Amino acid sequence: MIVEDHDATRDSLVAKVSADPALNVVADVATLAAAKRAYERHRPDVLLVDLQLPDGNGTELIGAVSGESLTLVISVFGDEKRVVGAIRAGASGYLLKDDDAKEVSVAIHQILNGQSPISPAIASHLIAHFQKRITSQTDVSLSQREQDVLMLASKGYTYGEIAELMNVSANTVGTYTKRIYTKLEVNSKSAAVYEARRLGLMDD
Amino acid sequence: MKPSPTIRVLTLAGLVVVSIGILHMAHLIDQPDATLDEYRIETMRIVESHSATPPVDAEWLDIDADTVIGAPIRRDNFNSSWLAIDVPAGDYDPQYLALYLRVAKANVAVYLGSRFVSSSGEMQRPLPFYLRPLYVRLPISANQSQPIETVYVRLAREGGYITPNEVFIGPADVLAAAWRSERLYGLWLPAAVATLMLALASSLLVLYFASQRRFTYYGIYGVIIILWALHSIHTLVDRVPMHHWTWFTFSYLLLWWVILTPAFANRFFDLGMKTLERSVIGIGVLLTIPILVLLAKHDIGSLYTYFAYGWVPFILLCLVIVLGQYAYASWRQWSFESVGLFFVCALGLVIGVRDYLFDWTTWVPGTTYYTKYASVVQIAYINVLIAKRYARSAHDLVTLNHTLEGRVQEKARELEEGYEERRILERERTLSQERDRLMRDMHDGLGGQLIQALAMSEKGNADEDLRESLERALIDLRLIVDSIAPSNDDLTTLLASFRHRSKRVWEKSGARLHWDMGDLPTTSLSPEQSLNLLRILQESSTNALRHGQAENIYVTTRNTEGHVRVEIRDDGSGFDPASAKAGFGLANMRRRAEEAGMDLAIDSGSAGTRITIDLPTVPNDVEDDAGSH
Repeated sequence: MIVEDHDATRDSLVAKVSADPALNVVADVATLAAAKRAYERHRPDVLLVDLQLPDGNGTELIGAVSGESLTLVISVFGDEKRVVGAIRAGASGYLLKDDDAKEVSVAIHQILNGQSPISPAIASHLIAHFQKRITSQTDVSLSQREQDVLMLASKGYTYGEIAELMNVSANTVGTYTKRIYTKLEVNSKSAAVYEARRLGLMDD
Repeated sequence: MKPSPTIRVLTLAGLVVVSIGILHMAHLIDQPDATLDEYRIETMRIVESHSATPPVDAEWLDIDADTVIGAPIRRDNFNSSWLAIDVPAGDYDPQYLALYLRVAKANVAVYLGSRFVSSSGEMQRPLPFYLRPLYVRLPISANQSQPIETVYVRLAREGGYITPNEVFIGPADVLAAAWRSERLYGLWLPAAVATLMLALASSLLVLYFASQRRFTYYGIYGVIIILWALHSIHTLVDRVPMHHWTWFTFSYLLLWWVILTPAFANRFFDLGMKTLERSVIGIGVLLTIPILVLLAKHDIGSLYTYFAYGWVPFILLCLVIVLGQYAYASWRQWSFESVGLFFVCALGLVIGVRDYLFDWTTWVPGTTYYTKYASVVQIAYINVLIAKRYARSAHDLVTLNHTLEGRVQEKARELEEGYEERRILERERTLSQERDRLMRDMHDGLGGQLIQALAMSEKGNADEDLRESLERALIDLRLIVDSIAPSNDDLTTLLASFRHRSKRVWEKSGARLHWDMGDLPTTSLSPEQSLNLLRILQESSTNALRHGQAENIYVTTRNTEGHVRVEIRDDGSGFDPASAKAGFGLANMRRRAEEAGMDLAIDSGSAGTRITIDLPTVPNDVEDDAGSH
């Protein structure tokens, strides 16, 4: 399922996804409201979601379906901050608007295999995030290897190179990244719960 | 942490022992010297007479000194009383003989036989308040055939008395020593303490008023000391300016200081038993007013007696009630200081009861009041408490000042940091907005058109130069957008982003990229520096891929003293720096490096090209700290 308000981009994404015989586009919509309805009807495995929608923010949809379906954020270069926001809400990865069919197909298969892509800018954001939040007790912290992955990714090394430097397979690096994303999501949810408790919105 | 009941009980037991010790010490001081005992006069004769010289022929009444213990000789109806004492025979040098009256509350005149020896003061104006020991040398001449003579002692009129069982005749040195010691303990010590206390009281009252009457306990304590000093004024002056009955009664009123002590303790330890304390003091004041009125109108010994019988027990009862409450409160809010003060007050109560019984009954042994000892202990203890509290407050003040100063500095720093942070955020926000706008323009406007133009040029077999120019324009536009990404002020992130951005180009070219990023310090590049560096990188990689047909490209960063080095090396065919086209590109790179404040070195030959860029590193403690966490 594809959620994108730009007609041209949506059409081109539909075409790129459909080019892979293993993938099937069950719905393509332009608004958040339509996306919610379509999601209830089709329950897709993977959603490609644009963040800036005319009737709201795609992050909301990502948070709502997190745990049920996998999502990829449709982004552009330099948009890493928003991508990190989406990952906090539960997104598994991102696509670039100008990715070609092959790249789109690879990205979707990657997240279906429990792996996630990462860019240096996203890695930098995550390093800063986890450094800032070591004080909170409820937070899940990163393992040493996960920290290594982030550090190398932030320096621009590719999965292949990181795998070589760490003596693991490239797939494992993708799995680490997925785990880092999950921890980020857990932490941001525990922070939300903490805030809610603090404000008295939750009893326990 | 409050101590366990066991420790409390042990403390109380210890304090009981200390109190008994103090009582015992008072008793010891009160006991006359054992060597003195053998010179004590057992019997004497007494007569009341108006005579100014020894009435040798009067009808003398024999008395046994011990039988009149506690009922001192008081004769009010005559001008004076006379005592006749026979000088006992003893194993001493008659040339050094003395008379010692341990408790004299009257002026006396001493005669040896009919011969006047000495007088302690005038006879017509007695000193009813001035209780002191008297010592008189008896000049018995060496050639006297009859060494045993009679000593006549005339007591001045009205109210003056001596205690008959405290009369001694013996060797001058022994009696003088006893007299000196009695004067020290009974007179000078209380006088010195009273003087000191009055000085202390004045400073405490100044403290009380200077503190805008915030510390009530200073005021109460000042009043306590003044009352106490007034109460023992007879040790300081030999004449109080009021009639002696009035004075006696008034000095009982001054016992208020006793009851004020628990009031002081209550405030000092903040025990909060105001209601009880106020009602006790209120009743006391109500009882005092009519008595003072009566005192002003009358001069009556009967009122004094009635008053002394009634007032003192009332004060003691009040003290029992207030102390009981105080004991309960200080047991609950246990502190050693407050329990100690309770004991000091309780000691005052016990001694007060003892003195009262000593004054009005014959049950209590001793020769003098003990309250003076209790009050010295009490006031000394309170002094220690106040001094300790004062020292603690002074210390707290210094600490607080110190802390405050630190906190002010911290706040100032926080504000500064907050301001700096806001400034950075503001800048980031502005940059980010600008970037968004540029990105939109690139995707939808300028960039879109460039892409279209590029596609058209490819279809229409347009001029190679035009196509390349379009491509360059598109790339440069992307670099501009990248250069203002907020995270790209860091060199490593900038290089990493550049690689990520150029991923597709690298993949298409088929060249192998060797990426080797050393640990670099965090840098803070301006957008201009970032853009210049990106353009240099772009130019270098384009050169390597397009013109040099390189198979391997090495990108390396190293941190060395004073600068960071970025090296881009390829194994392509190199180029001739002299050729017009290459020269133009190189000049551009040089200009950009110069603008960005970096050193650029280009070395090209048949074995490949090596471009090194050196960036000066500015030591930045704050960022280094943040990076090391």
